[in-house]
Amino acid sequence: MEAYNVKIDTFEGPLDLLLHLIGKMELDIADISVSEVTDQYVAFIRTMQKFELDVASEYLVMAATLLQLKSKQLLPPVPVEEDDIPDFGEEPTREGLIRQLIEYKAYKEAVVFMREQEESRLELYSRPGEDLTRYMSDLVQPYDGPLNFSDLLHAYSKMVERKRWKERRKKTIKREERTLEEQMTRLHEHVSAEGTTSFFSFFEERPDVSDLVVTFMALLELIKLRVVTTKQEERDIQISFVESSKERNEAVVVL
Amino acid sequence: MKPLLSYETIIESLLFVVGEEGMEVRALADTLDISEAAAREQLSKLEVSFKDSGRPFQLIESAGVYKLVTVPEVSEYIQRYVGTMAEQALSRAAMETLVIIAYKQPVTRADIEEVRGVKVERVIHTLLSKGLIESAGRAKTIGRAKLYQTTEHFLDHFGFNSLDELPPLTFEDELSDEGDLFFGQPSAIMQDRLENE
Repeated sequence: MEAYNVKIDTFEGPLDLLLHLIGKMELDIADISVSEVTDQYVAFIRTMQKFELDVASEYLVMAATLLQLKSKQLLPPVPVEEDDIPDFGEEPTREGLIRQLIEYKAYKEAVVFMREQEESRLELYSRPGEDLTRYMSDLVQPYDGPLNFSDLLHAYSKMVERKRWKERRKKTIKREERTLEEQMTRLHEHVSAEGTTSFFSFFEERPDVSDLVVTFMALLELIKLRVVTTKQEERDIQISFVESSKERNEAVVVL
Repeated sequence: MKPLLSYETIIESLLFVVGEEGMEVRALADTLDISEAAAREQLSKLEVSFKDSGRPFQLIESAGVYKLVTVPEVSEYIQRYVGTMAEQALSRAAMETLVIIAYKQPVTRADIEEVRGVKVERVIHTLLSKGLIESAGRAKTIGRAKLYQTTEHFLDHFGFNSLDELPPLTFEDELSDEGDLFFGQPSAIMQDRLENE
């Protein structure tokens, strides 16, 4: 078989690849033999998998569809009563595939035309429109004619929208997150001053999840460094300062 | 009162000022206080005089507005000056998706994915941000999927005046109809289509 020197990312998807293979086999779309096309397609995908780490899942779905079509052709038809056939609706058929290929090809051809059109339009340069606002009279006439309900409604909804935008902007400002090191220092200072404390009483306000996690990790680090010892106390943790660690204070703070 | 300046000259100055935004015939006619037909006539006169004078400008009608642009002959030099192609052509994926939307609009993402056989979520995002497509409400089917359609900027990007200028799609089975007459065998698709109808 001919060596494949085409990379899969040169194709726009499984249909594009199929069209390429059909073109290479010099077949009419309407006359494709499913079994031949399937072999070619699967061989192509296999080769690609050897060289590339991943072939997009769409290509694999198409391979599965083709194999299903092929096996259906190879197996003798099972005689079933019409009524017994469950209507899956999605069952792939050769005709369905051909129709899909024909439609895709039509768009692919339209793309060629559009590309030419785009290229020739891109050769025509224009310039941004002149900003004429400085010539406009700067007096905005306040409207003092009659206003109806929908004018008010319009103005109101504009205002609400503006307000929402401003609020949204506020929400995007993220709270400063505490780093593990900061929290270790803070916890260490707290415990060395107090002697003992409990995990939850350490927080001045209601902690959020990331606070809890960072603080808990800081506690684990301090335990590892033998700065504190802990004891489970119902649902809280009793944290006690280890006196002998005082000499190593600086090392901890630097951490 | 007939102005001392020719309409042609005034139109040229207006089109110069509005630049790429262009001007509708109606706006030109209103500004000059002449009929739309007269404005069109002046526009074509201007077009001819540009051509005859050998100046590097031409008029195009794109997305419903007239605008002043350079002639393609000078594009090589403009590109050389700019360095690269100033306005980038679309990627293949973007182009395919855009063409499907153009022909099938208003269309849902799932419809596009069915034709292309790949996911198009990111491409749609790109097209939206480039202003080539816009959302067109929601489908009335189950799930009420978002619908997309092309914009005026789409027309201008390709130099179309309206969507009617898109050439009809050619489907291979329609082309092979003639062949079927000779071979007497209707293709599987034709048969299928007949059955469906």
